[in-house]
Amino acid sequence: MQGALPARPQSPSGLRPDAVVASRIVVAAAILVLAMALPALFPGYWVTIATLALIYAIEAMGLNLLMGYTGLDSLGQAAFFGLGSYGLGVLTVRYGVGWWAAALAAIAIGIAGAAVIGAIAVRTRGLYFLLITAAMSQVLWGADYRWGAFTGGADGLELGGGRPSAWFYSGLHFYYFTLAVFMVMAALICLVIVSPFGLTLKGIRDREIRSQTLGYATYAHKYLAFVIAGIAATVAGILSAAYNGIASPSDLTLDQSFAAMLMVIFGGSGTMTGPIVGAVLITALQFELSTYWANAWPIILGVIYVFATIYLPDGIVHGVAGLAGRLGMPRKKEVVDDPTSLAAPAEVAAALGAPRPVVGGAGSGPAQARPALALDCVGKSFGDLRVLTDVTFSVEPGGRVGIIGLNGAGKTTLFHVISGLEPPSGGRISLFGRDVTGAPPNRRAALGLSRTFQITLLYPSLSVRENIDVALLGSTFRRYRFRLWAPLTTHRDLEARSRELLEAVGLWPYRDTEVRHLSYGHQRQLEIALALAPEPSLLLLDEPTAGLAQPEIASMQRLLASLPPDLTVLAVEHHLEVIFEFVERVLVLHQGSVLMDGLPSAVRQDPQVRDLYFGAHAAAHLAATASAPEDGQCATC
Amino acid sequence: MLANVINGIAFGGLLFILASGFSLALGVLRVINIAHGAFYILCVYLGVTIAQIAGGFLSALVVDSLVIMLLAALLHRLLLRRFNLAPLPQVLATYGVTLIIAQSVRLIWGGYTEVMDTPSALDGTVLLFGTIIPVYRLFLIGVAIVLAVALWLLIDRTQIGALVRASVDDEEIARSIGIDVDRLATMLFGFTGFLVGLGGAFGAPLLGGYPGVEWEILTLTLIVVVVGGLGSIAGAFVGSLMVGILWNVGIAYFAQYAYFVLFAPMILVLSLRPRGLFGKKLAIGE
Repeated sequence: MQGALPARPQSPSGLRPDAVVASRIVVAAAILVLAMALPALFPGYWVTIATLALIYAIEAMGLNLLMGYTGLDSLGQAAFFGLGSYGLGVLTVRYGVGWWAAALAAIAIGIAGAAVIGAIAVRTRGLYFLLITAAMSQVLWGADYRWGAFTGGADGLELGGGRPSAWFYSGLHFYYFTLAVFMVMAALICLVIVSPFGLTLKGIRDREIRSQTLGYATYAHKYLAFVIAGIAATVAGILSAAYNGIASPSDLTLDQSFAAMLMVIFGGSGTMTGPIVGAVLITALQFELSTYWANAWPIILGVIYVFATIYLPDGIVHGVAGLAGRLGMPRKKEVVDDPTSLAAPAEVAAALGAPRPVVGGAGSGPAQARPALALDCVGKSFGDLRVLTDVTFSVEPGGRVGIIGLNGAGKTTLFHVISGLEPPSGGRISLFGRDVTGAPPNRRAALGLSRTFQITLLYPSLSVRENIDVALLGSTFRRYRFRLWAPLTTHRDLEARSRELLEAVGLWPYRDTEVRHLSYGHQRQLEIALALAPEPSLLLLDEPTAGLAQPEIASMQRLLASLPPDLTVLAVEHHLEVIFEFVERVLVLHQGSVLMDGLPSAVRQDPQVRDLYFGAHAAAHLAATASAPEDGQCATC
Repeated sequence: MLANVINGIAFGGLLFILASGFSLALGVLRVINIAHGAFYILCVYLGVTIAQIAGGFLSALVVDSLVIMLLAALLHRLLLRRFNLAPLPQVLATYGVTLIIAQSVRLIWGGYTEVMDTPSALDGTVLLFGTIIPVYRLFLIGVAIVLAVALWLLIDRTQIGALVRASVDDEEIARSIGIDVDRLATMLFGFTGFLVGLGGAFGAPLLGGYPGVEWEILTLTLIVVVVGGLGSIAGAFVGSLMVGILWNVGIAYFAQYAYFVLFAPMILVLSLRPRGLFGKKLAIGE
């Protein structure tokens, strides 16, 4: 679940890693043994339920990757489930294709469907994503329902058996076949979740904007997750058609999508076991109750939906984990929260080294001559409200520039425009000589731009270390970001770098703490560490000392002073004593225009600036002059 | 062809009456009501019964709209209010409500195909551009236009509209200046139910009820809203006309592929404008 992150009971990421691995292996082994032994323990009828439960669990696991790990709540899984079942049905019945070839082709059809629907759907999120996925899969349902001549319409498409060979017609044999497919899919999805790619998904789930400013084309990550979830649903659909001997329009209904969603929510989204538990419980319940009370079943199911939404929003698995935590199972490592243990600044500079060379910067001579950042007549309006007017300035490589101004002067908007979160209404922006006026945040990050946020924008449900890992995967270790097949922890170079950075900023002792449990001072430090991890060439600091106590400010000052000398820095700051000490040049922003641009000493002494900060009378006068800027070089923009 | 287009416009008019409630709830209250289709079938079967008992379309119209209004207000008060605008719980809970309503309707009325008699005053045909058009269809077009103008005036031009927009834009501020945001939201959701009730009654003689109609209505409404743009009345109007015409022409000429006729334009619109024809631009983080 995205949005307001629910205060979950301690989630596995808060446990010590070895305990997590051990407990996961135990759980997986227990489930496996149980699944293998089930036919012996409960023969006959229960094998039917177990087979269906495994089929739905495959679909739910895929959806969980999307909902629980990427933060995209999809109502479109039925589309892929149906593409799987009808793909198998149509190919075997209408075209006489052999079972295995038809199954493979059906998977290809599912992938193609997910590629088309995903290309449109993942550009949105939240409410709109729900609507689009629901609409798309409903249209497929309608198409199937009305296209009777080809798909069998409301009656469905009888497969005339539907299993691969005679061996599979034994219920027991098909159960073990389904179990094998399930285990393969579960292993693959597990691998995706613990892979570097899986971590990038969790980052997008928590704070997509931060991921964009850290260099991610988040669209591609969401798209890939969508397709993987689609494949899982397609495989489930194929198994369902094979087992039931029919591809039915109910495979494509919203009921199907909702059932998968309920399994994920009911079990616990964002956990590996949740969707499996949900699938087993809901399938068993459905089978039992719908047989005895066929007429009342939809009403009972409706009531289950309503009550599960109200009383079990975090799912059964989280509830059990919370209970186990209280009974003395492995706990989150206790950390002494000590806000004074701040960075040893000298190490920061050492850990960072020289800024990354500008990507694609051809030739060394001219690249040096180009300004790191140049704004030309940049303006920004929200409707009739002009927030920035004709802002023009440039910063040389290695420059340290402070931006001061009253609240509402447009400082943060200026940073949003520079980093690409807000498109400017007019003017041009270039980074290291390249025009980036229309470029998305991730392209600017690739050119060496990095920024912090005034209100910390971290990944709250990830650990401190994972936060840094996300930043590294977006930049220095970009080559790993689409690795789905190897666990993150096997990437030793990345782990070593992340340790180095955390030790440098003094957050190593808190590496396994979830960020939302971190003290505010530490969050501010992590905020800067995230911006420094990509080894930027240009750093935008948005009020690095906001909300810090005096000793923390002093420590932050030391950290700023220790930044590599050739790193270009632009800092917005309200603490004038901090900024005047740190920078060699100050821009004064007033009502969206640059009021003054000069040496700190000059700005400090300027009567206008003094009045701005200390005298209301003069400020009013200034407002009158600033709102009618002298028309000069910017008359045309 | 012309007859199909005019019939399509009439069907679009009906879709607009139905979709306006859904769209308003979505755009102004940020609520997705999956039970929309279930409300529709309840209207049809209840309306047919009322029309038989009380004798007349008008009584069915009144009863339907009031019943759905109350039901919607109740749904908001008991369930939707809890979820603080989170979309996921909304769709799960309203889907649960859909199952309960649809199955209850099936158990009470048996789930047979039902079409209400066209009200006698509107029963007849006129000759228009050389084609015979049922009066009731022209009437639906008229109702849709009147409703569109009325809704636009209500939201954009009245004080109650201003209150609603204010409380959606900034709930905290609206609360602090004394607007009872919760009550306003419940009333407004009741009003969107009232609109769906109207749509259900108006739809009963044209489309009627049949198995699966709750999903077909929900699907068409979803397409209208997705293509037209989130929560925009103008978008819902244009989207309804587009879907209505395509649907009718599609059904007439390629009955089996009617949904493909809808699917292709929908994909096209969404690839060019992810937020629909009249949708607002994406803000940061959306």
